[in-house]
Amino acid sequence: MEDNQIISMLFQRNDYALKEIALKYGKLLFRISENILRCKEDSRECVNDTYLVVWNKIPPENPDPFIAFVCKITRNLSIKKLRDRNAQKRSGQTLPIQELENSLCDCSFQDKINARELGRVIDRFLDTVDEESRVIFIKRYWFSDEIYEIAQAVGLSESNVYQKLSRTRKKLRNYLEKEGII
Amino acid sequence: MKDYLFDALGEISDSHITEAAEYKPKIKVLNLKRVISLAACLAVVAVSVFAVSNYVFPDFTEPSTELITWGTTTVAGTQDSNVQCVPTVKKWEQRDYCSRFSEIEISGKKYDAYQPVQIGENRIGAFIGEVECKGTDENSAVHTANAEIFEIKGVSADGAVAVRFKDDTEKLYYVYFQKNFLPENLGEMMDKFNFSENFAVGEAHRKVSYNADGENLGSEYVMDDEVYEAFTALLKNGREAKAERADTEYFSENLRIWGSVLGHTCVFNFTKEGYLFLSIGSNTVRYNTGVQAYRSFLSLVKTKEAAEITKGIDVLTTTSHTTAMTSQGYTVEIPSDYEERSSDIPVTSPAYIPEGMKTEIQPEIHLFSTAPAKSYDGWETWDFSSCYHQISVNGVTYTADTINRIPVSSEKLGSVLYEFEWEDYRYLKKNDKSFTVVIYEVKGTDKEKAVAVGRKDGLQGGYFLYSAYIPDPVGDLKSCKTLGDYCEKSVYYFSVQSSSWVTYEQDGKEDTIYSLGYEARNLIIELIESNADKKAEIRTSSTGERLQFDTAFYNVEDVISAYLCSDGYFYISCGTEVRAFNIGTYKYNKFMKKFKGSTCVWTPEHPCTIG
Repeated sequence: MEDNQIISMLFQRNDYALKEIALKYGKLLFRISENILRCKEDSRECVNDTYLVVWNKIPPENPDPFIAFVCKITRNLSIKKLRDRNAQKRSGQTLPIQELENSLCDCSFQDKINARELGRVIDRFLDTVDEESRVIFIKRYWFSDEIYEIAQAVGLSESNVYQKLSRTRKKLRNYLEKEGII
Repeated sequence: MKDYLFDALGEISDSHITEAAEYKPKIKVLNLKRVISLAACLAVVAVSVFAVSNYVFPDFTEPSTELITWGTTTVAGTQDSNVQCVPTVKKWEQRDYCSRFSEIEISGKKYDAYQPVQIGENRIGAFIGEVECKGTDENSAVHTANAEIFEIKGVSADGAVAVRFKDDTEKLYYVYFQKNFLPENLGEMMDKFNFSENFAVGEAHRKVSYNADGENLGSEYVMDDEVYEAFTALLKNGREAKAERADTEYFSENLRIWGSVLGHTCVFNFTKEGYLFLSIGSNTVRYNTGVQAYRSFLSLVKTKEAAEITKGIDVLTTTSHTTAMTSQGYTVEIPSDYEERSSDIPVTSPAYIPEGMKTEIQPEIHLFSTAPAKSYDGWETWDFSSCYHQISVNGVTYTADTINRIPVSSEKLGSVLYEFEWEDYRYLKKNDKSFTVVIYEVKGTDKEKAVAVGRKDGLQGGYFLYSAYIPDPVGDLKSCKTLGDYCEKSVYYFSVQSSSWVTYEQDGKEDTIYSLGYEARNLIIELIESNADKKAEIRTSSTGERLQFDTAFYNVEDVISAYLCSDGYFYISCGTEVRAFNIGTYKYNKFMKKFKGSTCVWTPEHPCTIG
């Protein structure tokens, strides 16, 4: 079913739309959540919560593209749950974003620029790299996908994906330097 | 910082997220001449490796400008990070028809082209009909096109069809697969795709573990004839294996075999439960081939591994120039006292130091893992350096050589630098909550440059070399004196693999071999080894016959190409630097004669023109 049909059903308050979302995007959303939470139960919960949020937000919202909309909700819910969980007990976990953190770790720009502004700068930066590198970067650090999953998705070897990520991180660092952020 | 970055990345625009979520690999263009000229002028040659090997699918045509690949694709030479390129989101007009209309519907069944693969006209069967296809451009505008659908000779339209777009002036035929094709059993699937003609086996990969004596090491297993035979026999014997719709979220494979069907990548994943998950394009179906068949096959693979053991190379004492080019073996020892954990236990960090070892300033240590964060039924089959490719100690990052995996023997271990507990549910023994990781100094090596890291309990292969070394391939090439010297310097990033791409050029015409295969790879390694003493010269290659192959790399910014020319020189290029090693035309011709008879992979349309 097309996204606009799903949205139409949501506008009609037809709960069959949620089944369609689950059918079409359920696996993707679950993967996003599990990549962050590393826990099937929590991930299922987050994905279910996503459907609820979608139900509550549409209408009045009419998101386009719909896929980014639902993915963002799942990601935000998962990050929130991760923070709650980490607040309860001292445990971190190895997440792909730590690679990015590692490559920028000696840069003290948190005081200079808030996270949202940095995000917009990164978004602009991503416009300057080639499509494949951008997709790999987002898959790794936004979707928290594993390297082997990315390799399969983009049709490259794992070592090539590593290399592209490494190059993009380096370019990002240079870009942030040029922008005067670090 | 992590939370900060999480929040920052939350601002990534919808278009980028959508692009990533819906991304499908595209055909890349590799124009050798252009690549070479760019390499000379702009220090740009980008190539990727790792295609499936062994032999090729039949009858796919016209790869003169477009390479049809499976497994993975190449990176175009025009897209290199060294050049400040403008955004390269492909406009609608720049995409091929297959990428514009990646999904089509025929009589209610959805077909898609997961990879853009063309098929020759001689393979086209009966005309099925016409459909109207829809595609969305970069501005979300919907386009339509009429396409003619044809059968592919010998292939059931339930499995795949050929599609030709009416407006396509090139009149190319693309292969589309039915997205939800679910046969009755494995036999039906093989028949419908006409496996005997359209299927090619590629590489096999299995992760292995080692004895804890520090001497053995592991590497990815590469398919050989015996395993190939056993695999194909398993398929033949499993014809009755019932097919079921597969949920790929939850399987944990122990053995993976790559292949291609009609030029599209396919992946066979075997699980210990006796299921064979077969993914063709975006469609995954599982077949119950049985636990027994899986075990038999696995035991054969293990036997092969055992037969191929080579001693681990101690880099600190053995500085052979062949180190970078040999695959290393291993033995398998599976500990009995572990249990699989559920994946809801987080992998924890940071590392904590046992009481007795605490100092006033606690080190900040972190192990970085790229392994999927899932619980494994076979963690014992992963060596430590595969599990953790990097370790950060007080801001210094050490990286394991994941291509050559370098163990450090106990004699070479110096003093203990750090010892800490690490919690990772994936690699725990029964009743354990953590395992102890030790970072050793390596005798005779500056600890700022390299350390040895491994588990104290000796599992997962003992200790491995982690290096803070930053590869400098251009510098290494510039400073090398001989071919052997270069290989020695480039031990961390230069290697010839069976999956390496090869391009052959003669009289201005070029041809592509999709992957070397182990026989051809071994020939090249042999050639390099036997010419290790040849001096590096600065020289421009001649325009005669040329055989170029791409070398594997890891953590290297500049991609390295190596080529043999009929002028009798072996060239290595990286960035703007090129060095030539004179092996002589006699040896060149002798090599080429052998190479032509080797099992490197050619397309039928491009028969081994050098052979």
